[in-house]
Amino acid sequence: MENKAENGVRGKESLSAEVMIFGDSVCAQRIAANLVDNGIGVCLAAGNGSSPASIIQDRVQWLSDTRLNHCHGFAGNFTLQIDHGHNQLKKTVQAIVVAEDDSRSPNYSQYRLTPGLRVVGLSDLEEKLKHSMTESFSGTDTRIVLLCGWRKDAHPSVARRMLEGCLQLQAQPGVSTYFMTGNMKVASAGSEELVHKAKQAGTVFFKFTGVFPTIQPQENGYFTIDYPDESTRNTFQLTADWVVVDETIEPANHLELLIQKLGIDQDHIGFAQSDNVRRLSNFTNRRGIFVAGGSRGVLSHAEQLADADQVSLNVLSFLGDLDGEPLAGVTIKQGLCARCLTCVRLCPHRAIEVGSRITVITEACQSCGICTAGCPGRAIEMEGVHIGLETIQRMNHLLAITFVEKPRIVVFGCMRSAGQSHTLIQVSGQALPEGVGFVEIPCGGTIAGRHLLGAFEAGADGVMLCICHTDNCQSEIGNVVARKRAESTRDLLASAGVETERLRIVSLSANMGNEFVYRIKAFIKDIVLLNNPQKENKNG
Amino acid sequence: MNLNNKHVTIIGAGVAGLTAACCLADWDIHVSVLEKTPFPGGHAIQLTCKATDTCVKCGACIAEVKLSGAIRKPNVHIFTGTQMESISGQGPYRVHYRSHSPLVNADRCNGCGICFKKCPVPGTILQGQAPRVGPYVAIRRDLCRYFDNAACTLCRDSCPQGAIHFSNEATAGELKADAVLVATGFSPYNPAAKPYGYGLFQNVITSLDAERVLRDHYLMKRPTDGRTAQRIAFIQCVGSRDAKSGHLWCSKICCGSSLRMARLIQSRQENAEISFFYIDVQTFGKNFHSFYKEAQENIKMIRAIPGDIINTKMDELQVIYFDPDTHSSRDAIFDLVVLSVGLMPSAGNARMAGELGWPLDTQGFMPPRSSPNQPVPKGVFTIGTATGPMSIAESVSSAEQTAFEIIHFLGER
Ligand SMILES: Cc1cc2nc3c(=O)[nH]c(=O)nc-3n(C[C@H](O)[C@H](O)[C@H](O)COP(=O)(O)OP(=O)(O)OC[C@H]3O[C@@H](n4cnc5c(N)ncnc54)[C@H](O)[C@@H]3O)c2cc1C
Ligand code: SF4
Ligand code: SF4
Repeated sequence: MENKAENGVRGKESLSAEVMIFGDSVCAQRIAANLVDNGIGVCLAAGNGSSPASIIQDRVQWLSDTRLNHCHGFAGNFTLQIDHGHNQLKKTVQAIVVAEDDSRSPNYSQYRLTPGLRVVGLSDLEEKLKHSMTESFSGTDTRIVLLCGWRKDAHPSVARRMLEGCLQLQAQPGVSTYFMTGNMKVASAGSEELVHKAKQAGTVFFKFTGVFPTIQPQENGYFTIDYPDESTRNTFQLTADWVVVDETIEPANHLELLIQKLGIDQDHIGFAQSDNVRRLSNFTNRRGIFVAGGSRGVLSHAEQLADADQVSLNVLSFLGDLDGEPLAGVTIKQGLCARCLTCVRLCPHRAIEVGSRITVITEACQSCGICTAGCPGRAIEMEGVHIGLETIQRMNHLLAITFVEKPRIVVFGCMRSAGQSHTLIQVSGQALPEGVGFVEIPCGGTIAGRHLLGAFEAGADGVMLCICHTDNCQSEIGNVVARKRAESTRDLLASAGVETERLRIVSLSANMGNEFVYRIKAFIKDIVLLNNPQKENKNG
Repeated sequence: MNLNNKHVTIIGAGVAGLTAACCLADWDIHVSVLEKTPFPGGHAIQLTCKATDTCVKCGACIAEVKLSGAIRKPNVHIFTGTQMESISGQGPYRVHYRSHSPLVNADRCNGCGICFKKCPVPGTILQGQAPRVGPYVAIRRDLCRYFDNAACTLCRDSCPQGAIHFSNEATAGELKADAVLVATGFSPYNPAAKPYGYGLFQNVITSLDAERVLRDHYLMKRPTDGRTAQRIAFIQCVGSRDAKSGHLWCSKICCGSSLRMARLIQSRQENAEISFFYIDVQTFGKNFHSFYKEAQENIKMIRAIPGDIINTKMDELQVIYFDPDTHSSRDAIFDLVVLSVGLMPSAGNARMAGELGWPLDTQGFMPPRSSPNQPVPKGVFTIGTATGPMSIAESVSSAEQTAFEIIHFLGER
């Protein structure tokens, strides 16, 4: 109660919180411990969580009964409004870590079972085993059947826990275990060895490919299980005293709200990180906001602890870099800005602040240029990037080339994919085919329709726009907007009587040197035909 | 924390070693990376992107990102062609190494490829995969005939740039290391001992060979005649989950990698018929469920491991297996067979472990520091596939996590 009067903040009130951690998971607590060890002030918003572990107890600000209401500001300077019991709190922090626990539910319905006395979920089983509450399982001739990943494959970390549980049960006096699975998931470290151990201890394994057993609860509370035997192709029957079902691990319910309030991307399952390899391991689309443990995916207990160390390093590096040099500047020319807010909507990194003026926050901007290409008033400039100018320079080189046999091609390519592949070609002593000019761009999203049209106006016979593969864009949507913009440019070309095939969109990754050349050559071939349709007739 | 007088030596410049190098360099630590081959990047840099139009999150491109990140850092030095000889001291350590001078002068070589054509021993002249790092062309000393009694100088004589210089020169050197990080990775399983005719039939290749074929030729070409293979078999768990050989581990990445490769081939070769022989399909990535469903619709999934492969007179491959559906022995004809080889402990682990006083686990990997009951030397750490099979993403995680431990360790001293 006393704590409540102090806004529930236990521990050192005077600590200035530099980092806000959401969650009270083991992962969250370990991050907190790591950061305070390094002299960083930490506030931990534990949702409905219980009390902190003793190692961090009086070193962090621990808030329970919290709900995030609002997040303003940017990397290095976030202001959070938090409902805390009946009060409202305001916290200013430099970085945020989302480390909420995942949510686990037993897969009763996958096995057409209902929760019951003799049906145990995996987490319950572990609880029982942990507290040695295993008397009920032991006895003469107790048969326990473990059900793992039938119609829906089990996660390898869940399968591993099922195997551990199985081994422990098998060790109880009088217990025989039966492990029934679809694909036996052994891709968690040590699982294959556990299978081996369980077999040696006497566990019987059954694997099913398309047809699964049927489980009938009996009146006495036991079960009969009719299962197809895949090697003899007969159906057998087993009676079970207990069944253990595996579980599904999903994002926690309240994660959704946090994701919305913080403005971070979500994967299709609902975890707080898009499924994009460029976010490895703990990054989000927003600089200064990190995600860890059960908030970013299904992680085993050991992986969650490792994740805590990893994210701590990332946070410490980020805090250290705050005083460093920002990336190339993106600026909005105030005279030209019409406050249409297009840039605010477009920016995937949420780097644009709406105040008395619209400004790009350097610390949060990742220089993708999506806003520069999108601004209808062309009010946004990016330092050192002059796509139009560069295109014209390339074209001037190419104009000497005859256009029928050797068409003039401008290739725009993202520096993270096509740019890398282009370098790969160069160091291997190859060159782009004659007549091709390459313009490297910071991101597919930096290209506006006017750049593509500009290339045609300058005399290009074909324009190829190389973007990263879907889901592989550093700025998440750079490739998506690039595609859209190129498609509307195609419509413009069509209305101007130019063949739409002269504009091609290609997706590439950083390691595709040969494919890059292959794609360009294929494009040239098509453009030659467009330039000289008679040739096609002759050949065809 | 001021760590700019600290030195860390990393052994192995794979994706794990390079990631750790980047992390440590951010803390102003002086990082030296010893790489025994002529190229940094390890196995991951040799893999092909498996995206069709959408990225399938194989992670291969991350190796490229980490490599270019590491070479941009002024306080990271990558020593290629270099091996650790011995280590002395109690921490700080002195790491003694030997560097072979590269046979191809990177400044002169323009990558024309004439040497490849002249060399009589296939596989001796290697091509790098990574942009922005030299050398691009390298010669393997262990295979080159010059080093076998100076018998051959064809490549040197034909190089228009005069870039090739045979020399056995090696320089010995010494590094001070406040911490040593082992990132020596894995060795791919050599399937010669399996009844699949690897090494005998040229159209039986490993998954690593297949990665290179796709990267270099775009389509799945057959080694014997350069024809595009139409009927392709993937055989999983070659060397992994193999109790007979004492390999009680799943290599984790092969199911995902091979299924993605199969779908990539189908996206480029519309009529490719692919069969997938497996024990259990392992999960990979967050989108496993949808990907697996799609794969099952397009790939013939056979839950059996073939017993034998025969090369027919028509230069086709006859695969014999026990069919779980008909419950009888069957055979099927393919143009190409890809063996999904497992991730084995690196061949040099025993020596490395002995030198460092690091106990190997029962399988022969060098377990991470955190494993229970490990009496391990102070200031020595292990990461990546040197510690056990894992994916690129997991190798990156293990490197970042261990970098945190190292920084903590260095800060305390
Ligand atoms: C066919 C195949 C397909 C794969 N596909 C995928 C995939 O799709 N997705 C995925 O995530 N993973 C995949 N992998 C796994 C991936 O390759 C590994 O996760 C990754 O390469 C591990 O990186 P590493 O740095 O730990 O080891 P390595 O890549 O093995 O690097 C170790 C480095 O250390 C060097 N080294 C070794 N010993 C010494 C020594 N004594 N002194 C100096 N240097 C030394 C080696 O030369 C090497 O450069 C695949 C692997 C294979 C074989
Ligand atoms: S350049 Fe990209 S990150 Fe920067 S403000 Fe514009 S859209 Fe946002
Ligand atoms: S993760 Fe793999 S599939 Fe995706 S872009 Fe990178 S290399 Fe290609």
